[in-house]
Amino acid sequence: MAHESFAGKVFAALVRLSSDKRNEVEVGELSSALMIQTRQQHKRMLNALSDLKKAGKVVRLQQGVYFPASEKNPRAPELRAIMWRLLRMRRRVTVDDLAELSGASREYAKDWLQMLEKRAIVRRVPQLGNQPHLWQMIKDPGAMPVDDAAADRLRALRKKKKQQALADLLTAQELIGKACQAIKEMEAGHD
Amino acid sequence: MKEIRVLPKFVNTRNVRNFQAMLDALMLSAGEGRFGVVVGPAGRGKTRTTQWYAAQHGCVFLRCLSIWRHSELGFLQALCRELGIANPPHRKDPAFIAVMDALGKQDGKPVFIEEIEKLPRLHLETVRDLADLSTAPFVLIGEEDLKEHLKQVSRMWNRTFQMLEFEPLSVADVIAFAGDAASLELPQEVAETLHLAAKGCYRVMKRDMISLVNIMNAKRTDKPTVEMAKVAIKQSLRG
Repeated sequence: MAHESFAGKVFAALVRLSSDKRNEVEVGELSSALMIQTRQQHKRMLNALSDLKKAGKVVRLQQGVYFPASEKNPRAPELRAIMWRLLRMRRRVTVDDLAELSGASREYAKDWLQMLEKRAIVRRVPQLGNQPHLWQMIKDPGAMPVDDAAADRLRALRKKKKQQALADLLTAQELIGKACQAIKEMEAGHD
Repeated sequence: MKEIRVLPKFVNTRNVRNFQAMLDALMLSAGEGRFGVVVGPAGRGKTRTTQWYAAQHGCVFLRCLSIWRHSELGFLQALCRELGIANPPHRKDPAFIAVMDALGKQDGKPVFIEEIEKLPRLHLETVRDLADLSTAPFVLIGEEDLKEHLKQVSRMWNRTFQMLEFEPLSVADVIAFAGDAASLELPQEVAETLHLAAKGCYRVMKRDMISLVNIMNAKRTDKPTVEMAKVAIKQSLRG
């Protein structure tokens, strides 16, 4: 088998991690995946990422966050950004308007409007008969409001994953210790 | 029988395809003063198509307000806000420069301006200056009056790359809408009935189609007939 370069390993790990989850990968995660132990090795990994970026194989989203260039840009306009632009253009929308023009599902568009209602950015205007509700923009903050609830959920998920990984690491260390002890005992018994 | 539902789906009608083709060509052209013009009577889907495109591509869309008639400042400040400038300058010159700077960071994305025919000629000259100096493509959207308004500014008319006229809805568009939004195979004669009643207006056709689907669901059938279409049209108009 041909020897794989360090940059090749870094790229392979980046591709693996990006397909495993949400596409963008932080250097810390990449470092863990490559089992990097020292600062020198970490610097070497950063240099490899920099070379890969220059070669156009990876894209840097921000400092310390990368994704493979072949993958879909995870920061391509999200549905929420598209819906936000539509809301600002139209000022008054129905759930169906948003869903039709943005490509989101009715449920997603409705949830998003309800989130904006809680922030007093839109208000629901009931219509007569069976007509769908209108949602009217009552405050335009310019920048798209961030859905804190969703961000909190993600943060909690990451925290849980980190705790799990640390617990696994402790278990592994314990097992290694036990194995070392067992080997020592076997060697002592052999002598 | 499974209930038929009209889903909120953006349908690529002939006008939408023509619109995209015009923008593709406009983006490929280069140099100063690139204008596209979209005209047509109300109800043909100009605004909807433009807003859909602008939202998907992150372009600026600005609807002109009559209140800006007396000064270009309001117009320039609104453009500033749409271009992401949180605190637009309070004087014309700096506002113009701020818009120019922001347009330079737009990566050549088109700027859509609707109903500029409501504003005096001077505003058109401002847009022409912005287009000339920034080389950003501008697309003006309006009704028939827009054409005449543009012709008054010959330098602008000369720079118009293409003028797209939104045509009345075709029978093929009615069939495409039924297929895409409701997964319905509409017989030609039913499509023609709906088409005739809509008089080329997309909004009316959509409303009639929803009524037709409701009738089909009530009758538990997936085969629409001309009679059902006529009842749907009558119901919609009465409602």
